[in-house]
Amino acid sequence: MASVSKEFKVKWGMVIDVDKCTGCGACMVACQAENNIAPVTDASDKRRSLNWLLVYELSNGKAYPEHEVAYLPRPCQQCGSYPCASVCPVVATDKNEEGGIVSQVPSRCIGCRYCMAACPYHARYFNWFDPVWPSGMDKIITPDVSVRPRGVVEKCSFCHHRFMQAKDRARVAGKDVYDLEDGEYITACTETCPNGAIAFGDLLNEKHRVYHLSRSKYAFRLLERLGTEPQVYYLSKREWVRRQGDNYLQNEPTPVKG
Amino acid sequence: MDIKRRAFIAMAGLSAGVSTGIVLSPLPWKLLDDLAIWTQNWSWIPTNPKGENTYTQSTSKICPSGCGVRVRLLNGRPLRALSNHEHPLGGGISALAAAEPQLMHSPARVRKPRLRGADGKFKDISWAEAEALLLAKIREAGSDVLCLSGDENGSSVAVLSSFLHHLGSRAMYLMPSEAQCASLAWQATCSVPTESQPGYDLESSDFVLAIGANLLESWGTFIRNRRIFAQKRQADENSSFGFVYAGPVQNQSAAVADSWLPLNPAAETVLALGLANLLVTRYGRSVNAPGFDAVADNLSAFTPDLVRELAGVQPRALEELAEKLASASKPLVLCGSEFNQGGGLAPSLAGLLLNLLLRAPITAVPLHTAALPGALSRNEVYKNDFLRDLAKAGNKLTAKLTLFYNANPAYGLPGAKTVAKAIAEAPYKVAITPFMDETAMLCDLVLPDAFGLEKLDDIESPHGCGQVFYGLSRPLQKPLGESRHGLNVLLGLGIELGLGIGLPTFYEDVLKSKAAAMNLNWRELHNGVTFERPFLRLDDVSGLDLTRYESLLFGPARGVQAKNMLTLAPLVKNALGTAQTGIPPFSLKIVRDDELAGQDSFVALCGETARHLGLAAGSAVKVASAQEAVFAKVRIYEGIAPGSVGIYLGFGHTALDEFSRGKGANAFELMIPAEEAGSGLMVWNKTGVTITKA
Amino acid sequence: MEEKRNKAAGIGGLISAAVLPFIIGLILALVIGWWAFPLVLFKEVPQPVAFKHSPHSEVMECADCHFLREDGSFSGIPTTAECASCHESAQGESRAEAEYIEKYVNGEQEAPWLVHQKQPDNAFFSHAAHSLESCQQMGCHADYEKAEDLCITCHPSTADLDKPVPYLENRLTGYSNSTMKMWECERCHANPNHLDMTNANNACYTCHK
Repeated sequence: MASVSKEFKVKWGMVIDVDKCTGCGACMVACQAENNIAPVTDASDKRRSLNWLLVYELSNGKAYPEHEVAYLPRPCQQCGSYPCASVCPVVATDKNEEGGIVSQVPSRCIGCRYCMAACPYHARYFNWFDPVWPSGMDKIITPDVSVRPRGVVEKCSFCHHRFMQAKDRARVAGKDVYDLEDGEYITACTETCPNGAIAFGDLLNEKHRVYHLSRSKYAFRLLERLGTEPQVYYLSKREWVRRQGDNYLQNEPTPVKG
Repeated sequence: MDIKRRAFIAMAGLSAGVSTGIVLSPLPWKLLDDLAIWTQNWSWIPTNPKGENTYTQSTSKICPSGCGVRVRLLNGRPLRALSNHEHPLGGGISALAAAEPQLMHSPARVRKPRLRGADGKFKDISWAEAEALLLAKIREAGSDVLCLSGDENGSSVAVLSSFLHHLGSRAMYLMPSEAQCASLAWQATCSVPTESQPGYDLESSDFVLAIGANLLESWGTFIRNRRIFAQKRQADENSSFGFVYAGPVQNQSAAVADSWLPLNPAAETVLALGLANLLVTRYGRSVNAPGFDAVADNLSAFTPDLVRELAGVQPRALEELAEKLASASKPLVLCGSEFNQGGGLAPSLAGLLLNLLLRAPITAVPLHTAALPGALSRNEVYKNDFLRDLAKAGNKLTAKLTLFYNANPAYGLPGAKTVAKAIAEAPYKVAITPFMDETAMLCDLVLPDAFGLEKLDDIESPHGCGQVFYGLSRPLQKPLGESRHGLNVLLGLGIELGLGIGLPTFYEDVLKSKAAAMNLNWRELHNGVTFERPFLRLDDVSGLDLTRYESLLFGPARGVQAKNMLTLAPLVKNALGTAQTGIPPFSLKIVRDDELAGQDSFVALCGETARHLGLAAGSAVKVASAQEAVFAKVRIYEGIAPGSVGIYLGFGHTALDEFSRGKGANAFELMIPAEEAGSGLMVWNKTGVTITKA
Repeated sequence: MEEKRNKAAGIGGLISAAVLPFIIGLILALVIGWWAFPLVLFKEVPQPVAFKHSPHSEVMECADCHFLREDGSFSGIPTTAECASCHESAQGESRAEAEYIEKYVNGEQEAPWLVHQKQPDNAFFSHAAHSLESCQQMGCHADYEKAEDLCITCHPSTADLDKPVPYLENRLTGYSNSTMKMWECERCHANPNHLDMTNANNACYTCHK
């Protein structure tokens, strides 16, 4: 495992407050609509259906009435030390743009799926089939993201097109594209969440909310001990939720942030 | 053939020359490159459109929350429904409203008027034929016309009831809802202002107790509720805002509440009354209104012990909750059926009583009815109970002409199969609908209605909002196929029929005059501006009267539960759409594989119940009520009370498109409506079922 | 000796016998590769309207039709509605204009213009990033005074043309023969020292979507 994390001046990141998520799925709808992810008639076959963002249901494992439930949306974690791009034989995925978003260029992908095997978060999906929109529904394909044919891997891009659009807006307004204000660039899921459970911004910019949220004592990252340095943080005041963020031994204490 | 040596050498030289020449020309390299590019642009893979993005505002008519949307248009065509933070009912956006542009192109849309032939099959007909036919049928039916509408928040109620009035009929109905129960309870509690509904000032409350009411997923203006929740939780990390959810299932609201108080299904009233009793006896709370003494007498029976017995809530938990309510400065209680219907009047009355005792921030939200001759307000229409009248008529629809406006009773009413049978046997039935749903499939004539952002319509103060709200759902796209605005079609027929007196030609005129009557600027409204106006606090409402509580509330409060039966606890997921829309295609990916697997939906049981029945996760079971049986698989979910059976509403469509059809079981088929003692309203939140291995 | 001479004559003969065919083959192949192949690969497709830039550029600025929108996106080719703001009725006597008004303005549809620089869906080209303002801000191309000076580095100047530039469509790919390829973008993007400025990032996501 590569242990050196790639650093940038701007690091786009997400902080998801698990304690605010009701699991309604509006973020997943927005994600599909925004990123031209085709609907499928049998989406219950999870090995064959494709999501960039997936909401997991977490359980504290206790029986009624001590049971607790939580929902955890999982986008691409945009790892600082990326296991996926390091195994790509054709550089179809890489992390080299200012902002630290792991890129995925479908037209370059040869579909070997090494990256899927390497990703510890199951954030990558393979197009087993050509995307098909029911007749007429292709009218709502957005101009933002190219449509992927079968045979390639795709994943969440933090709505990278919105970053491009935000930069263009900033350029026309004569502003610095590497010092966007908080909220000038947010992902579709962030914008959608009615509970404000998702915050998005520059993790290195003190003027951005995520800067502070990611430093909360309740913040954790998924499988943190793998050293992947994800740019997605989660918040929960519930210890059992934080414990599910990594594989802890039964008697091992949950690490506490300083 | 004999090749001479020289000829061979010449050939070799030529080949070498050709090869060298080809390699030195762009041919192979260009060809290879172009072939690679060719494989990137298969003709069957859709391409990205290009053009100018513009944004405008609207209000979602298809999402029950009436949430605000910011519409992204590409070259003037709606492309995305985004969240609208400037909108009084906005904030984020619901899963259903976000799918609105997609649903407008759904394969389930009706594109042309359709007529059922003698062979039972539909054929497309022209609008001229359809209108002539409907005209003849209306003339034939005289005053024997019934209308059931699925739109309670718009002026369609006024237009439809006025249309019926002109024909001499008062048989105007709305699909049953939580709003109906809340509104009738409100009318039974106070008399001034006459045409109003309860408003819930969530914004100012510091402690919310939701009993049954799935505040953050389906109750009232839930997108607004969620915005307020987000703001209150955002304020600081240790926000003082409290939120407790009490209900049979640890649902979406329970997942983020400070705590979940498990409750037996349909025990909302009992819990509310138990709390009210503690507030009266221990905290000396009272309501200054006639009839309160009798209420207090009746309340004394709802001791913590009775609450434990009937609702499954431990006395200590009850006492703690009463303490929290009593000590909060602005507590608010939202009490209703966990699936927004079928609870009857009692839960709403019990909730109101609690709020009165707590002096909660309840407001009176006046309603405005379009000034059309004979038009009924929605409060008046709420008094007509479709299910009760259907049952009274022996489950038959006897009207010579039945008109379904944007309603899908054949799927979405309890005892769906009985309702469907009644519709199938009705003399003549017409559906005005954007979708070829279960009800349309049973009708003789189907008129394609415009939908969503194709249709000009209004939304007035949806149930749950705290102030007077008025907004328009704006037509931003030409109606699909030959579909037309259903109400304009009716108004046109009205003129043909000579009902003209007082009826305008276009629905737009109805809305314009309504806006004028409300002192709102039509031009602003049409640009997507919405209005919110504060209104009376409950303290200022006069005519408070609790004398009817004795019969309406305490009669049905305890309920009846068959012994040795499991109870259905229906679950709601906004993403699964409404009875009308079916499941939006995007939403299928939201459904987990322990909610739907292939064609099987799941029923949720807690481990204890499953063990008791000898079932394990994934067991195929038959779920049977006295009415009907459905097949499902078992999901073990510990966030559900023993004896309760969680079942999602929204599955089991038999019509619409391939994204809705044939997916799981329709829970409505299991439910049996029964009359609520006191109000006479139909209730179906206490469905006893048995579960056996299939 | 005899054998040797024969051998030498053999080799010499071999060469003389092979060289001529080689040269013929080479020339033939070069002609096919350089001349015939492009003729076969590309076909000329007419624009839907025989549009003349010259009469327009006499009375208008380029930016009246081709401009950066406020959101930073580029307008590209004007829509029928925008054209119709002048061409509601005929401004001249040309047949092309009359046909355009008849078919597109009155027919309320967009003309299917063929775009010489059409990029594939997976490419995101930001005109805003390459605008004169951006370039001047970053200190490169400070010598350019007008936006047009910059535009013509990628788009051939058409302002003075009396007829559309012939559109040669690649039969295999469907793109025009003048569509810029990735290597052309990389002339700057892969060269961080491009005109002493480093913002020409060559990361995949700089241009791909």
